[in-house]
Amino acid sequence: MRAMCIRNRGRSCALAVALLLAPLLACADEPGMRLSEWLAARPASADDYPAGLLWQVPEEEAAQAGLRAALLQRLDAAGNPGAGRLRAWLSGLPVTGRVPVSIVDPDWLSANLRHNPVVRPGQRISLPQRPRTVELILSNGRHYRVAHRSGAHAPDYLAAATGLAGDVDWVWVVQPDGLVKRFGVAGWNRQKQDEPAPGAWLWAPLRSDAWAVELGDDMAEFLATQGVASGADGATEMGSDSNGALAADPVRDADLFISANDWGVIGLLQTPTARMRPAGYGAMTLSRTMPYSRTNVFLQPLEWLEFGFRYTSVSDRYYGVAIAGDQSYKDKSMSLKLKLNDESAYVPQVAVGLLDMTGTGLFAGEYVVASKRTGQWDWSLGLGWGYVGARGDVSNPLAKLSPAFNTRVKPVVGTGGNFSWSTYFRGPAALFGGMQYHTRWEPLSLKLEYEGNNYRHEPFHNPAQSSPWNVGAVYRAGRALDVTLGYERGNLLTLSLTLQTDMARLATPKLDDPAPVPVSEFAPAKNALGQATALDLERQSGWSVRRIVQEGDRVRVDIDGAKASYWRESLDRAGAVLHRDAPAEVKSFVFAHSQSGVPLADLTVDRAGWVARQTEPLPPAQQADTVVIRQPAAASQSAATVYQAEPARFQFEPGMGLKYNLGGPDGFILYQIFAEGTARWKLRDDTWLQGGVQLRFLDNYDKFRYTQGSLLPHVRTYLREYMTSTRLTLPNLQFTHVGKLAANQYYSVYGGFLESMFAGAGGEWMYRAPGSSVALGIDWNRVRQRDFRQDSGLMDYRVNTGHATLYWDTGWNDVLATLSAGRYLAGDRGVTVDMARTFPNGVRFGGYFTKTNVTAVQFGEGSFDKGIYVAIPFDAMMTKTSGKMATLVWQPLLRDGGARLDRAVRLYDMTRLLDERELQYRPAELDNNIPIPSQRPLQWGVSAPQ
Amino acid sequence: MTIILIRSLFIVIAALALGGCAEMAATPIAALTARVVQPAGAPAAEVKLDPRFAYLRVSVNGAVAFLASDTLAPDSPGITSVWYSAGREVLRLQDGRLTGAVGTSTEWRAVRLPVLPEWRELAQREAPFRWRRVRDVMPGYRLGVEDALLLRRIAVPKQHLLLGRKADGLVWLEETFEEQSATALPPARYAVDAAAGRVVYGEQCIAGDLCLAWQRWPLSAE
Repeated sequence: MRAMCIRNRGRSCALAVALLLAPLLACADEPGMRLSEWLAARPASADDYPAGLLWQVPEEEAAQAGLRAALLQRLDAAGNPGAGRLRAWLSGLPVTGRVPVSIVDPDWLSANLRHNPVVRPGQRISLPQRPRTVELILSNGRHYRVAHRSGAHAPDYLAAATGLAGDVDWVWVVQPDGLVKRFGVAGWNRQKQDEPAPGAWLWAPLRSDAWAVELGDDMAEFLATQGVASGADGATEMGSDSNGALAADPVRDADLFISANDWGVIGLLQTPTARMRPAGYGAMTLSRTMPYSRTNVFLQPLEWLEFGFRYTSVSDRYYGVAIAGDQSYKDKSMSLKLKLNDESAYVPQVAVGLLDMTGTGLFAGEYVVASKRTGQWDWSLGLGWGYVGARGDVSNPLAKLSPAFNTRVKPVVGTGGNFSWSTYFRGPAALFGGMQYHTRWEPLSLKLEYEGNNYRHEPFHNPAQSSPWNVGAVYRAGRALDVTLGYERGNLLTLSLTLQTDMARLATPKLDDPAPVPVSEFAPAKNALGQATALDLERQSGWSVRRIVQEGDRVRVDIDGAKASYWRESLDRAGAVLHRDAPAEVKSFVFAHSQSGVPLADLTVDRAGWVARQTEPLPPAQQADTVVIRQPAAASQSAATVYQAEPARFQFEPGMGLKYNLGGPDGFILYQIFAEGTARWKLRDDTWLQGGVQLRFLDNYDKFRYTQGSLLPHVRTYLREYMTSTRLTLPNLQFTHVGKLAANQYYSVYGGFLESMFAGAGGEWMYRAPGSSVALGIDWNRVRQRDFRQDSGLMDYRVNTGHATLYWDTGWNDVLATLSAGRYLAGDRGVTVDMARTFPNGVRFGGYFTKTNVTAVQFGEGSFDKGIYVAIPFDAMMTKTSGKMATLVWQPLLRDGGARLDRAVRLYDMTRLLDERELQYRPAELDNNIPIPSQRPLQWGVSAPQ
Repeated sequence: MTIILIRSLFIVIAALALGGCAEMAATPIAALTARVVQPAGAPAAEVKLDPRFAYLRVSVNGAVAFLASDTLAPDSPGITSVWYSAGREVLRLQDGRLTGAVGTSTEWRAVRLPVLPEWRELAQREAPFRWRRVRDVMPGYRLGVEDALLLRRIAVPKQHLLLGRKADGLVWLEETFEEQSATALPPARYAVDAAAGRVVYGEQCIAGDLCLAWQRWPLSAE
C-alpha cells in the first residue's frame, strides 16, 4: 500500500481518503439547509465526532490548492532531507475546500444562527466517527500515530512516540475542528496549552532542521483543511502501552511567570530582567522599601518597549521646610526598557534599559540584562551602571571603545528633565542577577537576586546593607493583582502591590444598552420606514437622525454630529433597524454622516451581504466587506422623504469634572472637583456659540504656593492664580464656524474666550482625504491672556501662535505620528512630536515632547515639555455606549515653554470618520462571546500570556 | 508639578482594576437581560414567563436565570431536555443529570452516561453507587475526561437553593469523585422525589468556578 501510494501518490492516497470517508459523507440535497437541521435529521450515534465535521465548499478549493502549491514550493526550496518525504506525503493530500464551523452542536447552532452554516447545493458535509489517535509529524518526514489520552499535551506525545521531546521547540497543534495554535514545548518556552483532541495533527519541526516559522504556519493551515487526522500511510503506530508517560503536568505547562520589581519594571526585587509583558498591558506598582515609597505606572505600548514613570517618596528627607512643610521629598523619574532579541533554545533574551533617564537623575542607572528560562526557573544576569551598578566592582567593558566610559561624572542636573547623554553607561559597573522559581502552587513564584547596588552612594542617606542578596515571594491574587513580600539588604522587609491589566482587551458588556434588533434572513414585504424607524435608529446607535429618504433601491439616512468609539458596532445596530423596516426592493443603506453641518462621508451598506454576515457564517471567499466609505453626495431630487427632523438649536449638558496636580511640594495630590455646564446655541448647523461655566466646590488648592520662577512669559505658570481666584469661572465662550472649502479641504474660524487662560480669534485649515494615511492642518491664532478670574477681563500679554501639523498613520504597529511645528504661547518656536499606538479596542498609548528655541534655563525645571498619555474609550469600561473617551495625561511639569493653545474645536477630531481605521475598532471580545472556547484567551490567574 | 485636566480620573484608574473585573461582569450565563436575571432569592413571582414554554430556574454564581425549553415532556424518563438562556447558551438534562452545557465559559460539549438505575432505586439504596461518566470539556480540548463517581444518600444539606418545597420531604443524594485529580469537581447533589422517581432539584459544577443549581419553574410545572 505504501509503495502504491508513493508511485501513484497523487491519486491513490486521495482515493484512500475518499474511500475511508465514503460511508460518512452526505451531500446537502436541500438548498439552504442549515447545518443544525442536517445534524438533527440524521440518527445520532455515540461514535459521532462533531469536532471533526467537514463542511466542504467548492469555492474554497482554489485558495487551498494555492496554499498547498506554495507549501510544496517552500519544501522544494528547503533542501532538507526530510522535506522530500514531507513533500511526497503532502502532495497526496486532497484539497478539501473545508470551512471550519465554530461549535458543532445542533441545539446551540439552532439558537445561534450567526454561527449556523447554510449548506448550499454543491457543498458537502461529513461527520466522522470518533478517532482514537493523534497524528504526529516530524520535519524529518516521519509520522507517528499515537493513542489519544485525555490530559496529555503535545510534549507528552512527542516524548512517548519519539523520545525526541528535547529536540523540538515548537509544536503546531491542528485540532480536528480546524483550529491551529503554536505552543512552546521546550524547557525555555513551555506554555500553557490545549490538549490535542482525538484526530489532531501535531506538526513538530526538529530544532536541528531549523524550519522557518512561516513554513510551519503554512503547513498547519493546510493540515487544518483535512479534518480528522487519519491519512498518513506508513505512520508508526504507538499503542496505548507507549503512552505510559502521558500524564499532563499543569505546572510544567504553565506560561512564564512575569512580574514587576520594586521599581515597576519587569524583574526580580531590585533588579530588572529582560522579560516584558505582552503589548497592551498597563500596570501600577506601589512598593515600600525603606526609606523609599514608590508609585510606578508602566505601559507596554509595543511588544519590545516597556515605558513608565514613577514618583519616589523619600521618607527621611523633607521636600523643603520652607516650601513644603513636613512633606517628604518627592522625586519624579521616567524609565525605559527595550527588548533587543527574543529568547531561543540557546540564546537568552536580552534587554537594555534606563532606570531614571530624565529629571534630577537621583536614581539614574543603566543596565544590560539577559534572561534565560529552564523549565520553572528563569535566570537573569546583567551589568549595571550608575544606581543599578553602584557597587562598581567591575571595570566598564565599554572603556575598550573609549576611555571616556571609565568615568561617570555627576550629571549636571540644572533644571532637570533633560537626557544625560554624557553619563549613560559610564563609570564603574557591577554585575547583578538572580533567578525566579515558579512553584508547583501556580499562583506563587519565589525570587532570589544578587544586587549591583551596595547602597553607599544613595542620594541622601546611605541605608545599611547587610547582604547584597535579596529574597522574595510573589503571590498572584487573581488576574490583576500581584503581592510581593521581600527581604532585602539583609535587614529589611519590603512589600509591593502590582495592579495590572491587558488594556488592549478591556471590554464591558453593554447591559444598559437596548437589546439589539434581531436580524432576520428575510426582508419585510411591507414598507415600514417612518418615524419609528428614526426613533429606533437613534435609540440603537445613539446618532442624531436628520432625515430618512428612499431613493430607488436604497435608503439614505442623514446623520449629524455622530460620535462612536466603535463605528462598526453602531452601524450594525442601525443596519438592523433599517433591515427590519425597509422593504425588500431596497438593496443598500446609505448613512450620510456630517459633523456640524459639514458633509464628511457616506457609509454605504450592501444589504444582502450585510444580512448574510449577520445571519450565517460565510466561507472566506464570500467575506467581502459590505460597508464602503464614499465621498459625501447629496440626496437625489427624486428621493422620497419618509422622515425629517428639525435639529435642536440649543443644547445643554451638565456634568462634573476634576483637576489635579501630582507630586508637588505643596501636597502630593492637589485636586479640584467642580460642577460644570456646557451649552451650544446653533445659529446654523455650521455656526454656533458655545460655552461652559465651572463652579469649584471641593478642592485643596489653597495649599498651592509653589511657583518656581520662569524666564518666559507666564502663559501657564499662573496656574495657582487661575485655580484659586474665584469659585465660578467661564473657561470657554466662543463663536465657531466650520465649513468645506473644496473636496477634502476643511476650515474653521473662531473667536472668543478660547480657553481658561487665553482669549482671541483664530482659524484652522485642513486637508484630509478619506482613507488617506496622511493629513495636513494649519492653525493660526491671535490671543491675549485672560484675567485670573476667567471672566471678561483681559491682561496685557498678547501673542500670535499657531502650527502646521502633519498627521501620519505610519501603518507600523498601528502607530500614528503627529509632527507640529510653529510658534507657542510664550512666543517660542519649535516642534512637537507625538507618537501614539491605538489598539483594536480603541485604547491608545501615546507620548510626546516639545523642543523649542528656549534654553533649559529659560524653560525652568524640566528643561523641555514632555508627557505620556492613555486614552480609553468609555465604551470599553461602561455598560452603556456613549462614544466618549477618557484621557489621562501625565506631564512631569507644567511650564511656559512649549505651551499650546487649548483649542475647543479641532478639525482632525471633527473629521475622524475619514480614517478607515475607525471602522475597524471593535470592543475586545468578552471571553464568553468568543464562540470557540479554545480561542478564548487563557485565564490570567497564573501568569501573563506570551 | 503636574496639572492634568480629566473628566473622570477614576475611570482610568479603575480601568486597571477592571481587568480583573471584566471577566466577572461576563458571568458564565452571559448577556442575560434584566428581565431574566435577578439576585438569588428575589421574589420569583415578579418574573413573567411565557406559558408556551417550559422553564428551568437556574442559579449561577449568585444570579438567577430562567432558561426556556420547547422539549415536549422534559421530565419524562430517558428524555434529554434542552434549555436555552437569553444569552443563547444551551443546557441539556437527561433524567435530572446535566449532560451538556454549550456556550458557557466552561462547556461540557458532550457527556456519555452508562445505563444507570432509576432514581427510585437509587433513592432507596443504602450502599454508595459507583459509576463512570465521560465528558468532552472546552476550552482546552479536554476530550474524553473520565470521572469515577460515587453516589450516596445524604442528610438534608444545611445550604441549598431549593424553593417552594420542603427539603426534608425529598431524598438527597450527593455525587463525589472517587479520587481527587485535576479534573475533579465539587460534589453534585440531587433532591429526588422518591414517590415520583425523579429529580426535582439538582446542583452540578461544570468547573470549579461555575456551579449551577436548577429546578423546574414554576413549581406547578413539576
